[in-house]
Amino acid sequence: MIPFTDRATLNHAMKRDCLVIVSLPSEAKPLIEHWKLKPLRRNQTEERFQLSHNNGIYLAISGMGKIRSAIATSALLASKVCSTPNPIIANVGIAGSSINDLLPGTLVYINKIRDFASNVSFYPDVILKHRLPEASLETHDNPVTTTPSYRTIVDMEGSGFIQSALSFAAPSTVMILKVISDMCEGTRITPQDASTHIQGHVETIGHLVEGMRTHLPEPIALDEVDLKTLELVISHAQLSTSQTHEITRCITALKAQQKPFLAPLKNLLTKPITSKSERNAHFTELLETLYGETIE
Amino acid sequence: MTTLPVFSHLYIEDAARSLPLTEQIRARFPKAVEVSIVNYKEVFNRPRQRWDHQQQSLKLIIAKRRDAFLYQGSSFVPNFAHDRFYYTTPILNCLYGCEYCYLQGMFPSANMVVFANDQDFITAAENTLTPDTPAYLCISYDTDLLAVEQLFGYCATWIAYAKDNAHVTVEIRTKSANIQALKHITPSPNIILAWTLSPETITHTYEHKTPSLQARLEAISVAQQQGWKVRLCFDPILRLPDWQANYRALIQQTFQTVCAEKLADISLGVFRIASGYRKALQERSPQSKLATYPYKVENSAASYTKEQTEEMLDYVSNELIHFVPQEKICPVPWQL
Repeated sequence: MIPFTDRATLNHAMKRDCLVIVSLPSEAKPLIEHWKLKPLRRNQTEERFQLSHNNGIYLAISGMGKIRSAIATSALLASKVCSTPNPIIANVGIAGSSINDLLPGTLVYINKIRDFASNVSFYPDVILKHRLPEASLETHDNPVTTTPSYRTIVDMEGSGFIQSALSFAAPSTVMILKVISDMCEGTRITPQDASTHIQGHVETIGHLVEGMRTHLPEPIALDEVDLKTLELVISHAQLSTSQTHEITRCITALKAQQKPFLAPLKNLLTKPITSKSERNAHFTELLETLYGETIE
Repeated sequence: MTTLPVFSHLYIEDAARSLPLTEQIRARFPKAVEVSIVNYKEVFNRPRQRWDHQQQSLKLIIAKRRDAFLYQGSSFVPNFAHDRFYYTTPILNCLYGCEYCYLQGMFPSANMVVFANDQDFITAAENTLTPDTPAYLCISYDTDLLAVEQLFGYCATWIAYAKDNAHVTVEIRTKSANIQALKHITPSPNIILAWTLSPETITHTYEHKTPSLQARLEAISVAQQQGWKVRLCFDPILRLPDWQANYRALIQQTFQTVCAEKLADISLGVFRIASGYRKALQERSPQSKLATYPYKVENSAASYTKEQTEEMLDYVSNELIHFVPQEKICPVPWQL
């Protein structure tokens, strides 16, 4: 089996898909309307998380709490709902604040997430320019109804989301955006309030998502023909795990450098291989031929 | 949408927050977003980081080194006849983005870590490099200290150390042209400023974000005029198309600006890298022709063949002896 992470090569022209995870239908509503998303129900996972889609944006509703957020993020990433291999992964929602200058209605870019229960922290990379205030987020197991004595933003999903997202994706492709809904004073937030808070920032959220989709270079998979030929070679020659990695790295590089590699690969398929020593000899010869392509 | 500027974010270890160098760095970047961390490894060592993304907007991690202040010198680098050969890493990673650099294979992140407890490094050196035997200490291997001297002042710190420790020869290796950062410092005979030089075509194509060859040569000339001891490093020599003509042109251009008589010595070495780092380099930069060159791989190292290495070293040495005596030329022999 070809390692998934090795299936990539740089292609700056390819725009990434984006998977957006929200916890509540009321948070999802303004985003669904903004992006004109349509329900996508191809399987049980998509049904379970009310997946909707349009033009490369996928939005799912996880339910409240860090466990539900982690389950939704993992399930959707593992089932590869997006059509590009390494999508942008975003969490958007409302949060409480104990920071005096981050008042209700403010959209905040999160640069650190601390799980309050375990005291473990996670860090997305912030690469692209934005005009939002940044802050760290603290994820609690229960609603926070007493204002913390220190400066923080609190929610109930962030740490679950990011722990899951970072199990699949690069920190530079993960983003958390929170709209401040209250100052942790125990105020009840209605679904209408949540919708209104998100509604006020859909344009900015859309702009940030679009920026990440476009500006971070996307590794693309070797195409189906490449992969099929590679699988045939691996199977025909019964390559070892390290040889499989080596040949995959090699043709990934050749693909990136726009050098030919299919003919030498197919040539190996014509050679009978009956022993390990024959395999190793042919493999060395193949690598020399392929790497020879990179000299000029 | 554009990328954030270099060091838009400072990740500051709690244990480093009160150190004077941390205060100095924070003052240099008043607009930077500060993020508190417990240990630099929780940011620097995250899995699945994208080097190419991070290089678009490098972040600075300010940490406190707790141990491993000095390392024994690697067999991949020359010790210039010193049995006691150490190197130290006050900073991890580099502002520059050389395609062939082993740091891409060595570190999981492109972000830069600066250890702010600079005096602890000096204390460790004083304790380890006792005056009974001469020692050789390289302080700019996993970074380029001169390039960031205005920010962190580490060169000045080590030059001050060298003045009080004449038995230690300190090498500061660089590709920078930032010699004016040392203009207020009196040169010390046991400090060697070692400049890495490559043909202009390599500098332009593969040594991203570095100063041009001519800028480096002019910096070397200034350093010589100020009285610094200078070493030239034609290392790594790369076997690319027209390599002979390119290295001949490099050497001729070098000695139009640099005073050959004042040079301490010249180090020569062909490209060589630990094979594990080369694999990582290839995965991170599949488009790089240098990473996928068909090197000979043996004993966990990748380099050119013995014949190629000898041909390259001989060729460059023969070009150099038109300008400097043979005894000043120190080639790193074939190592696989």
